[in-house]
Amino acid sequence: MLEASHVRFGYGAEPLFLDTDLTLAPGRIYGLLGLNGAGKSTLLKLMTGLLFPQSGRIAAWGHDPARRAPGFLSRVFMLPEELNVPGVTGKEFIAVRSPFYPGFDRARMQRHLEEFDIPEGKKLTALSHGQQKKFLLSFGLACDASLVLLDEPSNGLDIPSKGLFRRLVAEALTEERTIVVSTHQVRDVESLVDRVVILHEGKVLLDRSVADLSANLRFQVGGDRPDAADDLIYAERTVGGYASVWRQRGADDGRMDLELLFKAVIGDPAACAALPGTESRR
Amino acid sequence: MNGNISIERLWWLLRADFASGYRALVTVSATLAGIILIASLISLESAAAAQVFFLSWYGGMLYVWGSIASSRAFAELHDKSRNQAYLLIPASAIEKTVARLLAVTVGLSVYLLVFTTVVALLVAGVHRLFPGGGHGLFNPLDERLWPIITGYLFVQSFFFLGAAWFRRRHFIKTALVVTLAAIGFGLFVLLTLRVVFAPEDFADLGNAIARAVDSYRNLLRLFESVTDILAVTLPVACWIIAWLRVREAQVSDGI
Repeated sequence: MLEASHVRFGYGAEPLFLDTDLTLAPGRIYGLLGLNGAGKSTLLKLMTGLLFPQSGRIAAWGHDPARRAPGFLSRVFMLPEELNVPGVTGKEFIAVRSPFYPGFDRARMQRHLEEFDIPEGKKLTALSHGQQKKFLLSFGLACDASLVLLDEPSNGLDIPSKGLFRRLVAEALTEERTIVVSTHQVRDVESLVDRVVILHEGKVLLDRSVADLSANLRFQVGGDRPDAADDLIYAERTVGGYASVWRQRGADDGRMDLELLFKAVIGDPAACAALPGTESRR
Repeated sequence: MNGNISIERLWWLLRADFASGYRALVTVSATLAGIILIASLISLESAAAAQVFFLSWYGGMLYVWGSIASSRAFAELHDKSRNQAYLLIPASAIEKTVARLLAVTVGLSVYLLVFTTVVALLVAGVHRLFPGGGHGLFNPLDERLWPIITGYLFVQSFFFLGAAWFRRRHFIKTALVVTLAAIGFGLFVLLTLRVVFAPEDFADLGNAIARAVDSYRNLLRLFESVTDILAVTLPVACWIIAWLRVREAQVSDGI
């Protein structure tokens, strides 16, 4: 369990988070969405102790991440957006880094590398960006970390690897583990996440489970311009017609369009509060 | 799991650093071995003078290589693309600091002793190929090595602190600060002498100082003791401040 309460943070004089609260529960895969500069990566860095909040409190399993205690760090894995791997072979990397993670599963790492078709004996710097990402992702999933933070994980992955990535991440979810996927590539994670967090202007605009959202919203793509109605939350012109989001209790048709949802929430934050059962959080 | 310091994690950190740095170590060592061999052939040292030859090489390598290595000890910390991975290694700030400190102090001093001994053997072997040639070996247990090593520990501590403190150009900035501090201290001593010996005839300053040394013998002893204490406390203070700096480092420091 990770809890951030009343977190305030900014670069220089400009505030990025204003009294922000967020709770990450175990056993869930969170999709963290936001516009460029909304603070998604910064939030991940605050959660891992790479940045310190200016005020407020973040706690994970009784640890203050900012102290970067070994007991905390050995339970956390973060795949950054920008990779810079050391000039060692995959084998050397595993040999020198895995001892820091008590639950590291060598067989699992091996299996992931084989599935991603990543050579272990090659220098990591000689691998392509996508291969480096797959190597680190394999390592992260084998670490047995309680908190796995993935910053734009699908960027640079080829098409078959994206499907494999989704499967491996879904398989890696346990009751004790929290996985956070921060991304702009919403299509890549749409079927993966089970909870959506939307950051905007220093606030958590939405923090809802996908099950809850799909039970209360209807996504419609194509067709004529919808007439203004109380149940209409958002509409936009797309290729081949209009796409719209409707308030509809009991919709639960299993369809979830994260891109439309994101646009609806960002376009009209007040509509968030009006979603059935939605708690608009700061 | 011990939150602060664990010998096991320290060992893992040292092993990880070695794994990523041994290729550079081999390259620099091979280059230096070649340079020493050529220097020995040019200088044609006698067997008796070999120890002095290798002592001076050992000292030179330790001070130059060690100072550069110390000033780069926390290069990742200030590198935007590498500091995340470094800070997220599951080890405490003190373990990360001590691992780097051990590498550039004990590690480098001992490595250079072994390296110089091996190179001395190589040089002696090569010299034997020439008629009438010969070159003595290097004694790594020579007591003249101690002042070199302790002096190095004092000097490197400033570069180690500079590595943690400055974001860029650690070596140059540290050297500049140390030079300015030395100049400042020199000026302070000069001014003090000027004030103390104001009534004296400066043409006869040598005699005046000798008289003062005689009169203030106890004060000078105290001064010597303070110097000895500073020789130990200053490096320790630099290392501690470096650790505090690592502990407080954030990824935004790399921007």
